[in-house]
Amino acid sequence: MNKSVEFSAPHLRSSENELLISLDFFFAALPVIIWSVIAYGARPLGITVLSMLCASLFELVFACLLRSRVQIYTAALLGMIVSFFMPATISYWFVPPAALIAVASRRFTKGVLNPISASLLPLFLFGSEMTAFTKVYHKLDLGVFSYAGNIDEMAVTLPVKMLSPETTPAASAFDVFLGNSPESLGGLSAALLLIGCLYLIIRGVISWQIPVGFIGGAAVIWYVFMFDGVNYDYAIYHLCSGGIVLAAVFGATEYSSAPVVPFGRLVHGVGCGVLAMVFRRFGLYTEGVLLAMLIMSLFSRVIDLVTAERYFGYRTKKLGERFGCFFPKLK
Amino acid sequence: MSNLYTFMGGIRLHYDERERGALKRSITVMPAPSQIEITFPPHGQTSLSVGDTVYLGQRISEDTSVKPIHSSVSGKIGEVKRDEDGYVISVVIENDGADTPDSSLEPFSKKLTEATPEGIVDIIRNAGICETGEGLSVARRIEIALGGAKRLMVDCTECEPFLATRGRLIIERATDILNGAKILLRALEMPFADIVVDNSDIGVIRALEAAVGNNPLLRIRVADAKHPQGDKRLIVNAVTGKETPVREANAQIGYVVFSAEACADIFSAFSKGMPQIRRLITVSGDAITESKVLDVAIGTRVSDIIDFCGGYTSELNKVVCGGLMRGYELISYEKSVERSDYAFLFLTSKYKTGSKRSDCLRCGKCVKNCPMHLIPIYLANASKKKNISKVLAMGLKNCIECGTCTYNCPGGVEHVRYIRRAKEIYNSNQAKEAGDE
Repeated sequence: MNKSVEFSAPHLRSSENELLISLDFFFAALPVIIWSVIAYGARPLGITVLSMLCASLFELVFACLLRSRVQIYTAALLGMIVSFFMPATISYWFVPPAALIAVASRRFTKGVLNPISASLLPLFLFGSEMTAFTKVYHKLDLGVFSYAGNIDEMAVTLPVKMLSPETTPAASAFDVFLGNSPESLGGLSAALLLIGCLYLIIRGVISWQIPVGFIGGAAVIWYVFMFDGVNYDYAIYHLCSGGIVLAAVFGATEYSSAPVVPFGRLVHGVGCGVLAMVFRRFGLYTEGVLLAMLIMSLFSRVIDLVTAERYFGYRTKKLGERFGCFFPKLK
Repeated sequence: MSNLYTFMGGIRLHYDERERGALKRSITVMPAPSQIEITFPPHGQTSLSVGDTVYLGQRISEDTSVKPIHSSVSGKIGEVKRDEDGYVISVVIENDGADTPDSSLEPFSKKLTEATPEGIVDIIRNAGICETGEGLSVARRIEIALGGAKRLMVDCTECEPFLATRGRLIIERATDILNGAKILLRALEMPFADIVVDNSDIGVIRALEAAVGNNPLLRIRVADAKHPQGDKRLIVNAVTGKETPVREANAQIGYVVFSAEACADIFSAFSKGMPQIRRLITVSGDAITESKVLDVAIGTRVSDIIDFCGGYTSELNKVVCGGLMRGYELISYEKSVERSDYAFLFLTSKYKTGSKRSDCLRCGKCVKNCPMHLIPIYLANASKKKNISKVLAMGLKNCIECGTCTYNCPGGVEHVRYIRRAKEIYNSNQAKEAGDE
């Protein structure tokens, strides 16, 4: 009749786009980047910039291969976040492969594997590159391609690793919180990360469910299970160290691997936090958090469909409807 | 006024466009052009033929039709267009300019308190009053709710940019709306009615308050101006908090919602005996020289409306019939105004849509704002893969196609297009199965 061939409503769009979202993430991360430069010199900046450039390049390639829209700002953002989880002494050779795997896992697995975890976990196989941390305020050179073999005199154990009933760590919890103790690039200062988190939540880019769920879940699992007889400062120490907060704010909230439904996001956050603390309890300090994010991201689609809200007008969503998407013939 | 009623979800649209004039100018009455084309409802039939004389307000569809349609002018029938099954698509009438009313029309002469609910429903049904959008006719909905109505609501909200139809109707003809509401109160035997108005324009609220005064029968409720407040289910939800499931009509659970235009038409059916033969149309957009609200005869062609309004500017990119969020694009100016139309928007390329390459960022904005608590992106993805059973399992039938998801999406995904495609496939499958039985 007189109707048009393809229905094209709505004819109005809001001014949101991918660039604004990525810029918001960038502004939230800016204090973190600046602090990492203050603490470790110019090298962290080099790693971050290289990671962003490589990620953008690979995104161009993959988007052309898949014939879909190039999401270059999101890829640059992903590169930046991946670089936050690396230590400042990591050699430059590790950065492009990490960026490649991150962008590939985002594009090809559509987020079933958390891109950050998928790109960084394999790096742990290569010697001790990922676990080499140096003293803070000890400037590192921008141009050195690899610190392998050179850091023995600068190396320092992570304070979190030294937490045990016998030894006490070198730095106090407050120092760790502020950022005066060694950590990965982005995880130096939990305080700055929390400020960034607040900014993102206010801007509506992140929903509060994932950071709150992560940190809350990690705290509760520790207190509730009262891991055998250690003093309660343990939990505070772990929470103040940047790794957990970094993963809560930038890692688990990564768009492609998190659920979409609000309650599902809470489940995802709590699950990540619980798993991260459990792994840390059993010794995996740096890789525990990444592994937790990876495991939870495998279930993000399932969580979505199961925790989806009841339909308008129905008291609950029937069991058949929650799982009907997996087994259509049951309906 | 301090208590704003609202529902969960929805989005606020920009209203700057409304300031550009249609709401500020009074209604212009457009005389019917020399030829009008009245579109029939589906499966319509008529007993008239080419050359018959019709009068203003005469019923031109046959007596047993559910939604009777009437002639908006007096004159002769020029052409009867039928489809291949023999049903009438539309009837072209040559206007003789005399506007001779049908002799069988007469206003309601008794007092309202003497009327029975069934009698009121009969008069409304014979007047053929329908609302914008598809669905049951007004008479049918009153019939369903007779005896079991819990709340009556009059929908005076208008939350989209450019539209000023209801706004001007309220400012200029508020007493018609309220009298129509009183007639409905008598039919449904209710103690009071809720008049729901949104807070996007203070002049509209003031006009409504002035018209209502201290009347104990009518209570004004101000709703938050979020799209899609105009949907009937969401009006019920905003005011009462109850949610109507998709498989039932609002009227079935006792909450009846009627639009302001329907109330005004009910009043004119009672006071003048006239069926629904004229509509208020907003002609607006940023490619029209003067935006205004017109009072047109049903059946007027869009080309005549354009000439009457002084034409459009050279930057015209598309014409949309309906609002910005739910309207469809016109491909021909020969379309005639039907009872379900309420706006024609002439838009420049600033409102261009349709990007083939779009990717979901999984930001969750569509889920947050969906008023029906669906996951629009999953519906769209399943529809792209043509997996209709999966789309149904995720609540395809609940979608009201308000467009909030697509409006918000930073990745440019067109959820509504894919959901509509899935609905069409599902409906055609259902029709095939029904035809096989």
